[in-house]
Amino acid sequence: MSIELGHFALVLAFAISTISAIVGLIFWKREVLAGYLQQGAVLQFVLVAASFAALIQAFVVSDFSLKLAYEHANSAQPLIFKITAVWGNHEGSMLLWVLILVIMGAAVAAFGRNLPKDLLTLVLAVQSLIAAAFTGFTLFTSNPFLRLSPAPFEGQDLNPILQDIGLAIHPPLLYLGYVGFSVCFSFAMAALISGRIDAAWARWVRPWTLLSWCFLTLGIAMGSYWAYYELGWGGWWFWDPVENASFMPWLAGTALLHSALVMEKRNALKIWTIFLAIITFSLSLLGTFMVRSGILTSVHTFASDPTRGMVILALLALFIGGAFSLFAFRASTLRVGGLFAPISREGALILNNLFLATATVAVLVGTLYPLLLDALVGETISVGEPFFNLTFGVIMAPLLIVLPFGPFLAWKRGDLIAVTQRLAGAAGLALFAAVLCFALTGGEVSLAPLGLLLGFWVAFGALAELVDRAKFFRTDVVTSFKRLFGLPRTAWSTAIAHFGIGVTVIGVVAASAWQQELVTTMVPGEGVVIAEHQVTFDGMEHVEGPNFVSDTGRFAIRAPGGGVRTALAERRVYNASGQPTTEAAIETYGFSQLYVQLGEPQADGKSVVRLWYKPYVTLIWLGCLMMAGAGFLSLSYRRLRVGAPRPASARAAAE
Amino acid sequence: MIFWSLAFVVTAVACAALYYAGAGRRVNATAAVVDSPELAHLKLQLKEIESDLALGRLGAAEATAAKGELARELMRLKATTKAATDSGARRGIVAVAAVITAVLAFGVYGALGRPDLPAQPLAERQDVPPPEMTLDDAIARIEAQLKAKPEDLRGWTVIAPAYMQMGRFADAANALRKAIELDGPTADRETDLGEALMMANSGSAAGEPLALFRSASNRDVTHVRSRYYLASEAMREGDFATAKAGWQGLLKLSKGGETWLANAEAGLAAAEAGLGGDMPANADIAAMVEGLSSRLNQSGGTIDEWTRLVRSRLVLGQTELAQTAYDAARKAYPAAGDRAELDVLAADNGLVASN
Repeated sequence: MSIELGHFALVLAFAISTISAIVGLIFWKREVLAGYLQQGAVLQFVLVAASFAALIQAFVVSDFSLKLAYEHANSAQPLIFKITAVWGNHEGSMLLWVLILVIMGAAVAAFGRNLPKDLLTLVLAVQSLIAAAFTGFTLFTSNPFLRLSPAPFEGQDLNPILQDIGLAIHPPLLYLGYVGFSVCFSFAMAALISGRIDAAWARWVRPWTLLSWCFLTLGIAMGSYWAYYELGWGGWWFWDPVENASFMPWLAGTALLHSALVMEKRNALKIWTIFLAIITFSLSLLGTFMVRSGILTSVHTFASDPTRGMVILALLALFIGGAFSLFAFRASTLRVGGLFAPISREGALILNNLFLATATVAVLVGTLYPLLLDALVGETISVGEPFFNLTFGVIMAPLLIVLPFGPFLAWKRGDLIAVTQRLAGAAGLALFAAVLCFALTGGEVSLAPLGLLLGFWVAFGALAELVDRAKFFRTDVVTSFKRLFGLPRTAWSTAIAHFGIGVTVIGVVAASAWQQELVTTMVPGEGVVIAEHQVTFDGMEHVEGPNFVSDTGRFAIRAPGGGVRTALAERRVYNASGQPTTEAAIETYGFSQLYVQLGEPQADGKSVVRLWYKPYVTLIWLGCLMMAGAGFLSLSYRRLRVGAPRPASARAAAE
Repeated sequence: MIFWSLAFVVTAVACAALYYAGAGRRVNATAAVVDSPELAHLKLQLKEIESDLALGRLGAAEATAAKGELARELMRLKATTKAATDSGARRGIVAVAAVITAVLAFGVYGALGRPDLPAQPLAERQDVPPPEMTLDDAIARIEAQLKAKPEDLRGWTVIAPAYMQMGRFADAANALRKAIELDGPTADRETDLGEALMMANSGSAAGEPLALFRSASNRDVTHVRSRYYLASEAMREGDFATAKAGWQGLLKLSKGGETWLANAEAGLAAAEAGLGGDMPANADIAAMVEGLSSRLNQSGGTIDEWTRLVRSRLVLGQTELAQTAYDAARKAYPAAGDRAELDVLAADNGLVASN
């Protein structure tokens, strides 16, 4: 009965969100109705959470009268994978999406008590509209609560690649990011409908932007690391359409984060910020649907399920089209905000936005163009890594070059020459570090040292801001340290986030340029050397897991610094589905990793072994963690910030 | 009934909560700019500027400029804010909204839900066998039990023939080995295991199966199946003397009317023919075989009869006709488990199991 109660709870949440959206959008000027919408948002959360719990319960007890459980779970799976199997499929992951959406709605209702009532009503109404659309989509085209009677005795299995802890972490984080931007979207819609938009609006929106951005950063990083260790290709980013689908909202969200900053502090860039809020969530929707509709594996799967495909198109048209129509209609009536000179903090942030927006468009074109071409002309082309590396790299390089200047510039009008002087130290250090690496790696001429230079420049530039604000070298050390720790947390979070970008860039460059790869066949007892690591194949073992059998290759790795480690690389076959997977052995040495993957056993008893040495590869994800951590740090700082302008007279006096 | 009561209670609570949240609270409708959130925001900003100034984070000139901007913002705000108005109609709105919500919920659930279906978790399904269980389900169920309790003799004994029926001969052999391991060998078990191994090995009885059949026939001198396989294997190897003795021994065990009787008689005849080096009464045999063939092709027959036909064709050296008969038999008996003996015979003599 709990399954049917869960089903009923989801239906009731659908009804509440539908009626809330209608009531809110029609009567938003009656401010007292905010209470109704707040209550509705909380109820939606409680009910969807209950229905999600019912699904989890059915999966845990292997109730295969639930069709979804029968199709995607097996009683032999370990408990954690029974739970994650709930969202390891289309229907369940739609419900997870909806769950996170209503969590966000309930959070707005709970924390939004001091928002103006009409704004709150409109935000919750738009949020309810999105919830109604997606709950409806889930219920009518992808219902996770379909039943089977009589129940089959045993279920099919969860896709073995998904039987990994990554499934427990990656989708929830990614969805928190994607869906979090719905709040920004709702705020933007509310501002457009009510015609009210000011610095206070930006202050209320910014935490949601920041929160979503942090989760999206973590979600993408986690997804990248998961693909890296599970898929066994040793790559960490493939410019795959699914990855791009999550990367585009991130780029737009990063732009939004910065423009909302300008808006909160300086009351400027309002229209642009609204535009970005709409774009970011639209890209999230596009991403969700590119993945969820099956359009990505082939455009033809779209046609093979016409109901789902058409509903998807209709929803995209409704939200994106509706939002932009409203934007076009209302944007001209919005009041333009504060003025500023081109060389200023605002100007730097606009530059940042321009580059990020261009990068988003480049990725969008590269992702959609093949799909459109296939759909319209029937011609299949693949836009791969070279395209993205070229376009994206060309756009990102100048952004990284100017990035350290931004935080140094004053609001309203800045002094570029003074800033350049203050950054000279960081530039010198970066150059020194890059040249040192160049020399240590044998002086091979390539783009890699330039890439490193860029990474070091961004990292040192970020630190330079802290050093400068603490007045190191300009006053005594004790005072400087006092100043350093007295800096507002936002200064720290800016520096850490920008430092994180530098770290990621360094990791990307090092792991791509100096990676070593070795493919060989080995018999037990044989050894090879890769990047001064002596890898010996000790032999194969047959291991029985809870729901799989594994041929485990045992390797002994002797590092140049001494010490021997045992690494286990597996080839598994899952009992229920008979599907094989590989589990790579990854050993971390400092920031570098040795990656061993066991290939097909050969007829003559040899095993194919692929080895990679990836120098500083973990920096890629460490940098992402720093960025997300910086975001959370900034979130924890709820003091209001005012971007005090640099008055014209003060500048005259300074000169 | 319990379900509908619970659903009703949940809906009632939700709708009541919505109604009271929307209608029950008195809101100060005349709240003007004095304590609006926008003003609060400006006040906070002002406070912030002053504290920054006091801490020396902000120069006096910057602070003055920032305050100037705030003042302009405040004046704009005061000019645009209007006192909110409200009419008593809101109670009506929320009441109607709550009722429509409830109606919508029951309507949609009525169209989508299956309130009649109870939960069927694995643990409960293991105890109560549903009447219409498929073979796959049954096997999955026994497998689950055996995984939990590998010393369950009954489980292994029950699952082996099911595997055989599904053509999973290696699994069947494994199950039979477990049974022998747990409870010791019997003539039947050894013969079953031999049969499974033979099938898994595309019909060849050489090696372990033969040893198992011998062991079974020694264990039980009246054991028919093992003796049958031994005689057949001797025939295949051209050891007509052993085969003849084997068939004669089998015929002695007969009480009349067994299904294998005709095969054994045909086998004995063939063995004697082989010993004699020629084929006496060849024409008679040929006529008999043709008669059998036309009868089976017209009106069908048992699998044993088909097997006899194929065997006779092979003995007569009519390989192509044997293949035709084998194809027809496969069509008549599509389940591999039904024609274990025929498949062995066919495989031994190089007939193709085409689909």
